[in-house]
Amino acid sequence: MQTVLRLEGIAKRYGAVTALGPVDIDVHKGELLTLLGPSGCGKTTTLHIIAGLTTPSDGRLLLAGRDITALAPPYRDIGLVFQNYALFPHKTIAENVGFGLRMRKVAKPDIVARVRRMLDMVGLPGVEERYPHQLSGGQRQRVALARALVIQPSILLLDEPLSNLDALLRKRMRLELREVQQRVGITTVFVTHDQDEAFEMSDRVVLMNAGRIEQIGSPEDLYDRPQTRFAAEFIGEASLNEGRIVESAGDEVVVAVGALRIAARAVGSGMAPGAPAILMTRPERIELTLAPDNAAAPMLVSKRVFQGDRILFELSSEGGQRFHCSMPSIESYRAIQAGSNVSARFRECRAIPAPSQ
Amino acid sequence: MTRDPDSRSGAFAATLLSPIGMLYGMFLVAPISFFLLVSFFRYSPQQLYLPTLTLDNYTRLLFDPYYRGIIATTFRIAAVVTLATLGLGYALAYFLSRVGHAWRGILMFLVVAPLMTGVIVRTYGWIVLLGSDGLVNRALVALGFVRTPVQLLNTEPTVIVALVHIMLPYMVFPIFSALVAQDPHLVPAASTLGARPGRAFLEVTLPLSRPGIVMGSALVFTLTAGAIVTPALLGGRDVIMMGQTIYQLVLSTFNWPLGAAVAALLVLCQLLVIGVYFRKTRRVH
Repeated sequence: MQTVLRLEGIAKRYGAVTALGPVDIDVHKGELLTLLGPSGCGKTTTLHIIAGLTTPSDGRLLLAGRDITALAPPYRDIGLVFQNYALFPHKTIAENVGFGLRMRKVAKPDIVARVRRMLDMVGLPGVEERYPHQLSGGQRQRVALARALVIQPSILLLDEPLSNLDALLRKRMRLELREVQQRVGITTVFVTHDQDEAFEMSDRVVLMNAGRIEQIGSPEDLYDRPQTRFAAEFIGEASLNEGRIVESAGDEVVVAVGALRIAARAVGSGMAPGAPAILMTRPERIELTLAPDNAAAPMLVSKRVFQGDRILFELSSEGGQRFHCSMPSIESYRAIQAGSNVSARFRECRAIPAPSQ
Repeated sequence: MTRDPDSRSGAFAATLLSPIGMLYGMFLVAPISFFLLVSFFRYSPQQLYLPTLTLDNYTRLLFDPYYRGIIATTFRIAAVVTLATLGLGYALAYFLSRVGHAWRGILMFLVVAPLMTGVIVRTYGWIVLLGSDGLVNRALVALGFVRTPVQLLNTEPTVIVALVHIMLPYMVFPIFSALVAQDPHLVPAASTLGARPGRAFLEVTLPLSRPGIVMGSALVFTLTAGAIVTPALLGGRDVIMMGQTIYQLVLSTFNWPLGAAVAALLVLCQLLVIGVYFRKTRRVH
């Protein structure tokens, strides 16, 4: 796989405080790579370092094999879409989109043609003569995208471009943005704190926390095989219970959590019998029955939340462990009330190495 | 009990505005209208003016070389002072808008500080500096640049320098507000699109600070054109502007109609400048 952008040991320090890294990331040709993490995790700093708006304290940045670490933004060959779009309020849409071409001394008729083609592609034909304040948030977002793409950069950078839109529009724009990205085939780095956005749009996700990379992988990877407690907590809904490995054969292990013995697949190494581990269960991977079941674990329903299409249950084991479980809203599950005794079957659980203190 | 706020808002607003309205009516609109009327009356050494309508005062202003000279001096000084404060003020405002918050407070205070002392005090300060026995002349003689003190007072450049000093805050603040109101991401956006720093400034920062430039220029131009104290104290009899002329005609020679005509001309020009200002700023957004 061809690497378009490579971050080698990139770090950013402010005095004695390390804001980022060192991190190593390879961005492959044509992929959409998402930097995902809570605020302050270093994802925006990373993006600004790629764009040249922040100078790294350490490390090297290679774009298409060329060292661009010391290069100022105008010479970097990147397209950046800001969180607030940063459209020029005193310029028309055509002037905004054509700005980068004009800076590159493209001939005027070519600019007009390329601006029109790009506006068509983002689904905004005919807005050339309008001003940014005359457009809606979603339209402005598309103009910002057009302005970044029209210069045909080696890489497109998106800094939380959907966070200023209302919930409904945000969902639509996710698909639209992804579609444009794939149609153009442009290598993209996307920053977000929204896990749904990351999952729906990305080829790969870089999960970041406190200036470091927790895990890099496909959305499925992150969801199914979180390597750390942070990854398991941040990605999706999960119940995490501390326990100990009691049996192991390859990556098939049995984890003892209180009085329960639950089969799980080990993620990561050091999962020999006796080792401490965290048992991760996903709410959709627990099955409940009211009927007693010898092969299942007895549980008490301590909470029940009706959501319409789903019902959420909080289960408590005899030893006080809690598990969250989500069942479809059908009669057999509706009958289960808070206080009911149920049997729970665990499927596809994971054993994650406990953080070493 | 709730009352419809609309039903009483008109009367309520009128009640709130009536004191200031009366004040403006009695002490601004009425005297200006009266003076405007007097400017069309005939001068009389015995009765101040005769209530017969005439355009003589205006024709004299526009065709008498003495008065034409004063008008030209006034607007030349106003234009030069406006351009000079624009250049200096823009640089200062730009610097203030980029500097850290701790420094910004201190520097801002230094910009405002001159406004806290009266214009007369500041003008006397210039006399102390620029007089024939002043600091500047002593330094020039001591350093051997000149043998005898140079005449600095009663010259147009001195009046201009002093006015630039006095007017600077009026230019800095509107431009500063226009600069800090700009989205800080615009210049980085321009730079990622390929604009080098100078180009980004010309394409983005400068056009977006136009409301501040126009506002500051209109303020400085009108204030300078109406200046009295500074040209009177630093320009003496050699640099005469319209403000001093009005003062002399009304209070020394008691030629009210001619004084009123000079005042009317000055107000008209200032209104024109303000009118252009409103036009320009409305076009921006």
